[in-house]
Amino acid sequence: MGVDETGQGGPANRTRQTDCLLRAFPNEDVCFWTKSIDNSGVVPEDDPKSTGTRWRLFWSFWLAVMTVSILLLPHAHNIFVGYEITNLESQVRDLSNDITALDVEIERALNSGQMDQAAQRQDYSAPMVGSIFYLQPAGDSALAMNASSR
Amino acid sequence: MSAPSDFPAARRIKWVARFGALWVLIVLGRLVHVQVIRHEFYLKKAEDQQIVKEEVQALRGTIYGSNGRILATSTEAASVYVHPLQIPKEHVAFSAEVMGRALDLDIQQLQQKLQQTRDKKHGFVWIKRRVTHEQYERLRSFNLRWVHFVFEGQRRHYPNGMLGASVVGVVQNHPRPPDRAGENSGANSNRPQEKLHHRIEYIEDGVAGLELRLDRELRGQPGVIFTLTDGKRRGIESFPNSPAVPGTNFGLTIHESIQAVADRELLKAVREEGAEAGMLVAMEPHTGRVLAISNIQRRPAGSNASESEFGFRSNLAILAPYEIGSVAKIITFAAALETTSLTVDSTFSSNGSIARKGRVISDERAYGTLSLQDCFVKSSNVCTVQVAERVGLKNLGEYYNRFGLGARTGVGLPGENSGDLRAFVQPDGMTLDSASIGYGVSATTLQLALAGSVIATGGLRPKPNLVLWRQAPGQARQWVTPPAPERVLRPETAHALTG
Repeated sequence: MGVDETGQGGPANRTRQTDCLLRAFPNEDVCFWTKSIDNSGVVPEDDPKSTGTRWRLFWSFWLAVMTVSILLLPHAHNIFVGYEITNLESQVRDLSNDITALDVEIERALNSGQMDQAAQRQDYSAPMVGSIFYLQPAGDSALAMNASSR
Repeated sequence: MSAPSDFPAARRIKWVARFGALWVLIVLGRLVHVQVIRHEFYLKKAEDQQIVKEEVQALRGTIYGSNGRILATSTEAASVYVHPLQIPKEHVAFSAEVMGRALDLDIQQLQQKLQQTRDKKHGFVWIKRRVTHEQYERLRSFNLRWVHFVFEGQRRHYPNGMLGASVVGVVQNHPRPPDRAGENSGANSNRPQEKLHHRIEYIEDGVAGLELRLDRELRGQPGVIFTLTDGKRRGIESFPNSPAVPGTNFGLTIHESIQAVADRELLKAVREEGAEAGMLVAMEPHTGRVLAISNIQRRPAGSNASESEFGFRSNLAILAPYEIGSVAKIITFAAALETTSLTVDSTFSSNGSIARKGRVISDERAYGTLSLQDCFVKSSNVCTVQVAERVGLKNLGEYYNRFGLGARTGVGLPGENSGDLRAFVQPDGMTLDSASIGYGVSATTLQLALAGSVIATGGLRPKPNLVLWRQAPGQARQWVTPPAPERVLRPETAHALTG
């Protein structure tokens, strides 16, 4: 940084030719110079404590994360397992209900009214009172006699 | 050199630290206030918001026949509601069609209903309450995210139709009375969830037959479950405060095949005879186990056209006494053999009729001289009256009682009639003669089956029973030992009457 020391720009030297000119702004004549500094040759001295500090920071952060995880994970795990358990309980209830409903369907399909209708469709007849029908031991299919075949 | 604290930066750090400390103190103070001082208040508030209390109705017990066929059982009944705002606008018609077909509802009306509730920005609408399991399965299979189900009580099934209907009885579904609902919902009854669903708990009460008599054991004990939920009311954890205890299952002595044959043959007989009603009881004479009770009653003219011509539910066999007629001769002759010197070879004469106190008692024809055994075989009224006069009113009344008439059998069905033996209490001149041939006295069909069992067992009167086994939840099946029969006749008397 430097200052023009010639004084040519000062008020005393103003002439008629220069009166019409605008006056300089304050400090217009102040100039700045920059000088680049090359620090490439400067080598910072190794801080013997910095490595330990870094590791301390790392382990502290790790410990904090682990502590929070240990504290929170079981709770989070419980929540997710809870969702699953309540969902399974609901499924068990549904399945149990389904089993009963299927039992009811089976009973409906096999009730005596249905059997009577099936027997009529197949032309089976109930044995007369006092009559006995002996089935021929011909095979597993000989379970009942067909009325029309007699 | 100045102290570090004199630097402006150090002073600023100090102020920040002081402010931070103050902030921590404020937070700590608030925490102490919330967690310690107002602990109970906020705990209760949180529980009210997060914990859903639900009363779980115990599943009603199942009733089986002696061969293991289901005579009555229950499934949970689901009701269907929809969140109309979750239905995409372009899917309203499709949704209405799917639900209408699955639930057997009018599709146009359903679409209109959905559209209206959507227009009103309502987030809830009932579609159908207590649907059948088939409808529930059909709709559930579509897995529509706007369709929701809530279980509202149970539905009782009688998959074998009218088989043993008069014994098994029936239940009636009705909404839980408000006072009972209130006592169960407690302080949480105003939760948004419950308001949203307007859930009604339907309960089943036995109103006839064994459903009524065993109602307390069949219905089990309802339980209460507290469920921890998240913001979307999804269950996270359940705490069964008092788990529901399902009802006890019962196996009846009713033999399904015998009952089916009894029903079929009785119906045939009633039709053929044009009778108003018919009753049939089949029982094991030694154990008193009732194998079949069949009742058929012709419905009065002009009754509901949708019903069949005959009713099967009224248990006339225990409810309706009638004059027993010649069945009473068993009692008269048994009393004669045990209380008089008469034997099966003693003789009596029948000229076809006999006059007593101005009334004439007649036979089908004049049998002439008959042994006591033949009098019984030919069912001679004239001879029976003469035998009864040897027995006497007091002895005849006592033997009526020995055969189980005039008192309830204790079969375990509600409303059992004891029959009518008042004639023996206030006798007139004709009581002995009338009662000896079964007039002026009445008994139910079950009582007559019991009387027949006395002869079949050689003089032992069993106690009729209907329960073969019972099984409480989580326990082994307990077989019911039939009560020991009571000896009411000498074996030789019974043998003489069957010989």
